[in-house]
Amino acid sequence: MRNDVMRSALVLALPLLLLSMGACVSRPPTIAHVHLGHALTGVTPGKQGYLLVAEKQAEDIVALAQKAKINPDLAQIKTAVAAAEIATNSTDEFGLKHSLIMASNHISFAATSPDASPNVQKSAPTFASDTVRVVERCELIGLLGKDIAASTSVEEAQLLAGEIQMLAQANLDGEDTNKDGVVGDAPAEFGMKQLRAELDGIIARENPPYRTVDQWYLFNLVKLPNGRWVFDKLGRGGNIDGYK
Amino acid sequence: MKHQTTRVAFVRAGVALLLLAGCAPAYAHDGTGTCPTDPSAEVVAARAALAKTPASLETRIRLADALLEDNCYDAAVHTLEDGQALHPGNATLTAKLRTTRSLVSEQSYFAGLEQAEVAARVSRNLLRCSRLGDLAACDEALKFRPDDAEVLIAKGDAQLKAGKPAEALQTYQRAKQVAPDNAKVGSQLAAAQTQRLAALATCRTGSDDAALAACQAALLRGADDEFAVQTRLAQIYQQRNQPSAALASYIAANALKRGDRNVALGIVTLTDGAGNRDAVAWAARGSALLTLQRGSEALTAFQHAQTLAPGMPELRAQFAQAHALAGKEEKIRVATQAGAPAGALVADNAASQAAVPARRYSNNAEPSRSN
Repeated sequence: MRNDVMRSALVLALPLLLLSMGACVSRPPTIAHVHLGHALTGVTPGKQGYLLVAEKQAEDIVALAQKAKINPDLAQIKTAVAAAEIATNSTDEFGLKHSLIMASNHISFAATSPDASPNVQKSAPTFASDTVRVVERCELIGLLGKDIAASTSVEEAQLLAGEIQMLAQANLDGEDTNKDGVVGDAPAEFGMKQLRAELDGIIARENPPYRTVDQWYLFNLVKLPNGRWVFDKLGRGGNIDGYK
Repeated sequence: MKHQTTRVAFVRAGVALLLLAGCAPAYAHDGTGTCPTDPSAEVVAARAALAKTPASLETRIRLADALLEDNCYDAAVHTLEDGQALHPGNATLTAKLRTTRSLVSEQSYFAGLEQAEVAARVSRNLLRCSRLGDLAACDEALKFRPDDAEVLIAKGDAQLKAGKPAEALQTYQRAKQVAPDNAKVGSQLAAAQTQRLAALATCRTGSDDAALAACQAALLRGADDEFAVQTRLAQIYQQRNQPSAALASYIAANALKRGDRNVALGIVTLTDGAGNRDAVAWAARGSALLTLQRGSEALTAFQHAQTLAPGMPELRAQFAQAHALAGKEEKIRVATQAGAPAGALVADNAASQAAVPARRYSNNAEPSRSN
């Protein structure tokens, strides 16, 4: 009788034990999620994801352009605009345009991963095309920045700096080009705010759910000579490619 | 150092990502490639092979690869999609299809980025054109959007701001053709016309720098007053001792309306010197001498023009007129030397001039002092 009770308790306890053990095992993220991780938390000097860097740059550009717009001194306008131009288009300094394109690229890489969810596969091309308006504004900021650098007139420089300021603000918050009273309700009006919301939506729809990818996984995804992608748990390095 | 390390990691990551994305170098593209109308030999061969063995997955994938090599991304996707019915759930086909679809979206993304670059250039030029009156920027913007009413109006505005009402009128007229219902075009056309009329008034009355600028601003190709403005311009240039510019304007006026005595005198005066003359100047001189009834001199001028530019339009007809006039002049000269009355011959000559085709303009103005 006592043995029966013990056996019954064991039978009940064993699945619970197994379940609790399973819960403690840390599963590696999917390869697709590692790529999403690079867009969100990752590989830039400050260990921030590309999208985060792009958002920060967009804020800085607004401040710099605002400073240039109200400055009565041509040399100082040029200095502020040059800084805004670097924050917008520099590759080395992870400017807004470069960071956003890289974020978009990583999301596209996620979509081509063998373990990509249908959600990521479907959403990645849309996200990529939705970034184009911000890229266009960045290009225009670059062109106007060059015009200001070559300008000899304070009035002209201030006018162009004002345009840069408006573009920078639109890159941050979106705009209302169709004048329907709603900012950012179409991709042609998108700024970083709308793109962030779009990416958050992609992440929220993920199944299995996306979890912040540990730095170790971000930098230890490697491709074996046989073509398979694995996490390099043994630190083999050598003839393998990856994020190491 | 930290940046360098990051950059190295970044480059390695990029390479790895390309491999991960299944982008073998052969498929790498920059978005600029287009699917050719004539498929490559590889595509033709792969299509033929697949037609023979439609169930062969290997052959289907070979065709998809050949299409990708040719930048025919959509066709590659369709080829692979067609295979899904024959090979349901096949992992290789599924992976290939996923990668190929990614290439399609990548291609459209690259195209989007290129369009963004072009759109930014147009926006920059439009901004400079409309806000700074930069005419070069207007022309650059029109290169990309030749039929864009907004750009045309901006250019017209810039021309008006620059004091070029005649050019602005032409630009607004083009905008009206493109956007007949655009209200702004109508009002700007009226503004340009008003500015041009004011310029015309200054052109007709003055002879200083302002008058010259006014004539240049009012000169409108194809307008009813084009001949009058060209003539006035020529007179002002002549008064300012600018013979080349004066001759060019007289020649332009003469091309618009042959037979004007003022213009003819101006051309003859300006081409009397021993300076180098080109075929156009010789032809204009010949035409002017014809107007002045100096046939044999006209003949000589046309001969020079023909030597320099044998194919010059209208030269033959004018040559014939000069021949006829010179012949009559010779008859008069001979008759005069023989003591015969020349009146009949002169009357005959006048009748010949009357046969010259009707002209578009009339100008009975007396020769100016400069002529």
